[in-house]
Amino acid sequence: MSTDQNITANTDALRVPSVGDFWSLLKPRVMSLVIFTGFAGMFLAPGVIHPLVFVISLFAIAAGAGASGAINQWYDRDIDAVMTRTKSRPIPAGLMEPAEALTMGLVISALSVLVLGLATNWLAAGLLAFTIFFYGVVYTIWLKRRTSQNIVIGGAAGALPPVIGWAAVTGSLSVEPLLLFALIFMWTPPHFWALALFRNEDYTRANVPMLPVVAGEMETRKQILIYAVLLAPLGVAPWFIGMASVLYAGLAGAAGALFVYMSLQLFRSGDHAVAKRLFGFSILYLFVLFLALVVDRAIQQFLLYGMTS
Amino acid sequence: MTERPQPTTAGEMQKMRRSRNLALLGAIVLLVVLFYALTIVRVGSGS
Repeated sequence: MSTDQNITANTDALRVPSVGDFWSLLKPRVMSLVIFTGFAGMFLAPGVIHPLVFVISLFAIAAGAGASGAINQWYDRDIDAVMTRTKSRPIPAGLMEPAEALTMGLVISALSVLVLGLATNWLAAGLLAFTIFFYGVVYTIWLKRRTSQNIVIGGAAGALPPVIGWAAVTGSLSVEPLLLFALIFMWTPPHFWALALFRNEDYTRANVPMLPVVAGEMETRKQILIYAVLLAPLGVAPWFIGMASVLYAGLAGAAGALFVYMSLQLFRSGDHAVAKRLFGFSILYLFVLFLALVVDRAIQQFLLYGMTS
Repeated sequence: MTERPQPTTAGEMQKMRRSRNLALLGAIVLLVVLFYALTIVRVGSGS
């Protein structure tokens, strides 16, 4: 009788976080990108690991990234509440206590580092711990609200998953994973600044010193163009160091040229629709480049196998 | 912003809590299976 009685009057009792709310704390879309780039790092690395260890490692890297997302949502709950893009997140929506999100973030962080360390090696686990710390503390707590270079420096966290993946397989680091790191690191500012251009009102309202808020749209468009020009040759660099074939170089060169062209278009027009298009293209750009690296390596291995068998 | 459907009765609330508990159970079972599988692989490879 009592279990089915109407509880509408008690509004506090109504706020129950669902499984989906806890899941959304982990920022699944960011996790999917981390899984993808982490997979690329593991696939491209020389050496062989057991397929199950491969899957578990990837799972641990994704869980670690998700955990840092939960810590980010715990700390950013005040600014998330005033931004259109984020105000429906579980904490600002009043669906869960901030402490619940923090606990979940810390527990999953510890477990993911432990699992990766036990599954592969402690260099990879250490890098994962550093990534979580860098995103959850250095970016979220120290940089995001203080400097317009927040996402430039903070971009290091998003650039580390392929390095972790590489370290998980090899137990060491070399120039190749650092190049993958540099690629994502250089890609991050134009990607987020394009978003910040058409979400400027959100960031202004939340007092987040994103570049368009602090330095204006013109300066942001200029910076996007500069980073695009620096990114384009970096995209081709895997071919230059013998990590990928000339086919990859052609594709990366064309995609990089298109990135620069679209950034130039944005620089000239200042149209937010162009910024939105560039933002969309930037996601496609990174996806295509990493996919091309993986496919290129798969073809090379297939050809090598064909010749030696 | 999309409004999330919220429970309106105690029964619905219990149902939501139950699904949360089941998800937590699932996560714990997954972790147990993961550690078991990892142990088998590590023992199998002699490391």
